[in-house]
Amino acid sequence: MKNIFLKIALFISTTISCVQLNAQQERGKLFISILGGYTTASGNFTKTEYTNIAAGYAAKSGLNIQLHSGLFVSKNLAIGLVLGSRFFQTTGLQSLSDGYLDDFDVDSTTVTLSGDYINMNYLVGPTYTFPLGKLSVDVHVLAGLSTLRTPEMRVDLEDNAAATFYQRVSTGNGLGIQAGVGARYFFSEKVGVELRVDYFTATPNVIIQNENRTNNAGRFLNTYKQQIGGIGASLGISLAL
Amino acid sequence: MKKHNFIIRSLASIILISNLFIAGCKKEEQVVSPPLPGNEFLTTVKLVLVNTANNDTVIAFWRDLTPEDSNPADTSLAVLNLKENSTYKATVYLLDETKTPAEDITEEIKERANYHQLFYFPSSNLGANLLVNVTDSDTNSPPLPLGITSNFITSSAASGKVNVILKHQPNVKNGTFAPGSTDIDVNFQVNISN
Repeated sequence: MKNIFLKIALFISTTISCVQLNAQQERGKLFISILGGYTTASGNFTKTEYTNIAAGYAAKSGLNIQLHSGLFVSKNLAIGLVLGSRFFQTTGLQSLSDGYLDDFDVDSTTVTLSGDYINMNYLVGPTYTFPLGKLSVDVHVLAGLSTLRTPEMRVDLEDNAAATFYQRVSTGNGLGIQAGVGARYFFSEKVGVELRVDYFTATPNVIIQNENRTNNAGRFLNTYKQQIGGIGASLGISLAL
Repeated sequence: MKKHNFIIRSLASIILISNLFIAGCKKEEQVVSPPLPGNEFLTTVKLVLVNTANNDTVIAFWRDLTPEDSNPADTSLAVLNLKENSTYKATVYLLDETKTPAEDITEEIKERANYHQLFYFPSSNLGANLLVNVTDSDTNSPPLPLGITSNFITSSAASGKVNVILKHQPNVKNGTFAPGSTDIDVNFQVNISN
């Protein structure tokens, strides 16, 4: 968590420094948007088969929010920055519970999941903009750090508290790449709306923190490294500075 | 410039707060799996002992073909007549004889060895005249005893019972008797003679 705050602070200070540099040199312009919307995921990350060790039990759609900005270095070209988060709930947990029931040969199991998958991204890259009066359309390709935080899982075997085991909240990093197209429409000189569609891909390597796994039995993950990408559509307010 | 900084800081703060808010909404989802119907019974424990000196074989059965009622088990064949100063290689077979043909549960126990263990407790009448050493193990790290196979080592003549207990120790197996539940608890009469 401390790491995330440090990265956010770094991003904010970088953005502010860029603006200050821009002002000092009196050239280039900055836009900054706050967006939210829908995002998808696919592949093993969304599968729900107990015997598939790569299955992530993530929902196929989730929420995304992002701070999107661009600092123009020429009329059309800007350095784009995205600080974004994607949230996916878990799904299909019954198969997980049934699988542990069978694998430990017990009378009952209870699986409790707390929290969502949270994918945070810190991306930078070129943005090319086509100004069309009040409307401007841009395409960008961004790359950077992508982190994945897993939910916490608790598995109770029958009513024996000593047998309860946990898969604690775990995080991992990887390279994230985002490419997409967006349109900004300005109602006034400074304020407008932005609509964008982006494809995102990342494969963070999460080291899973397990607790109280006394015996080698049942589904067991000590790492999770699967593609968590998808397509996202988002809408929000944009400011030209 | 100050105005711009204020706007940027405000937007960054909104994103940060949104993230914390969404992440902070710690949703909890719980699912429960109830017992599966039609579980098998362990009606029969068969002990096969082979004398390592001459391959003489001793077989004993403990049976309870009506495990759901209070009728006593059939122990008429639960008798091991062993020779003094001998070593027997013993193998346990666990059967469900309510099914036709009888179902061999032993393989299932082997597959689930990492949370099962058979324990052997000779009675005090036998004293040190019968030692039981388990010879197989599971795939835990480090490996723990399983007890499907063992060595029965006799010394002087004596009579008593050996208590055979199968423990089910899901995620609590540690090589000791205490954790878990008991799947089987049976006694075999042991007679050691010349």
